[in-house]
Amino acid sequence: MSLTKQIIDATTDIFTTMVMMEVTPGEPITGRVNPFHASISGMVGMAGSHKGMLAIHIPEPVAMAITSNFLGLEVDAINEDVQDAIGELANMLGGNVKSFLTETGSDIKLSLPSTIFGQEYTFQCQDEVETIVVPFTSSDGKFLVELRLQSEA
Amino acid sequence: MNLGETLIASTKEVFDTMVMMETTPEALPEGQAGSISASVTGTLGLAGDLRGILNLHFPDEVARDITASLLGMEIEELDDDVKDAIGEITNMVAGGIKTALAREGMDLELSIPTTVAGKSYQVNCFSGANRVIIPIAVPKGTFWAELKFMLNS
Repeated sequence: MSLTKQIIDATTDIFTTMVMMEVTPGEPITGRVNPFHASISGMVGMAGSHKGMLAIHIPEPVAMAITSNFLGLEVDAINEDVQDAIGELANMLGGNVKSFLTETGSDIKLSLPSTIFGQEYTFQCQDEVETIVVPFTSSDGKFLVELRLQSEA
Repeated sequence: MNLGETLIASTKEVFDTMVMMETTPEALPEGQAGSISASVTGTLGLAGDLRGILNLHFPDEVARDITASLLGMEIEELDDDVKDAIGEITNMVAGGIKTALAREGMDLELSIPTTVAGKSYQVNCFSGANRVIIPIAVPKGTFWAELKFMLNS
């Protein structure tokens, strides 16, 4: 199974079972997806036998809808609840990809998740890193899931 | 061990030996821990005995001056050279922290650096993490070195 398929399955699964939201994957994107406008990005670093990072980039209204569904509370701003929810989503996606990359998952460790948000920002890694970006559509709008993986030494 | 001291020492070493720029750690102005105005942030996930994230936040002019010094060329705008340089500096500072922690018998694994840039954005970690933040003065201004972490027992 390919990494792209794994990202699609992991995202669909986490949204269906944890966020209680149906999402539909689109065609993987090649090339730049920056900059992001009025958005929030959740990211988690992967270290150990594989080095990389997983990020989810979500426009503000979609992020608020996801948080409302996920935590079962109303949110009307990018507050601490939204930041924690989107960070936790990145963490869960990272955990899933980690288990896929190694047999036991124990050779890869995750960093703490972090969030970036603002009216306009770009997000970039070094060029020599493998990149997979998959867009998803929910009833509240679109978002992107991005995996960056350094080739094994 | 004092992670603030480790962060200062690792940053100073990279600036002394690679950037060729003098750094002076400053005291954090009281009550201003939350307000950082940066145009470029290098961020890198840390995993292992310490789970966290290293962030280096730079104002535009400081980032360009550091890149010019590192690459030995004039830098007019916040371009890919600047983003690559900030990512690489973040990677080197994280490497210094890894080495320092190894001397204390702690294992630290590094993810890959990501550079965030923009006119208005914030970088946050989830609300339960510990935080060390140190303003560091350089000739063109001040940048901020920040560690957010939890210790794994």
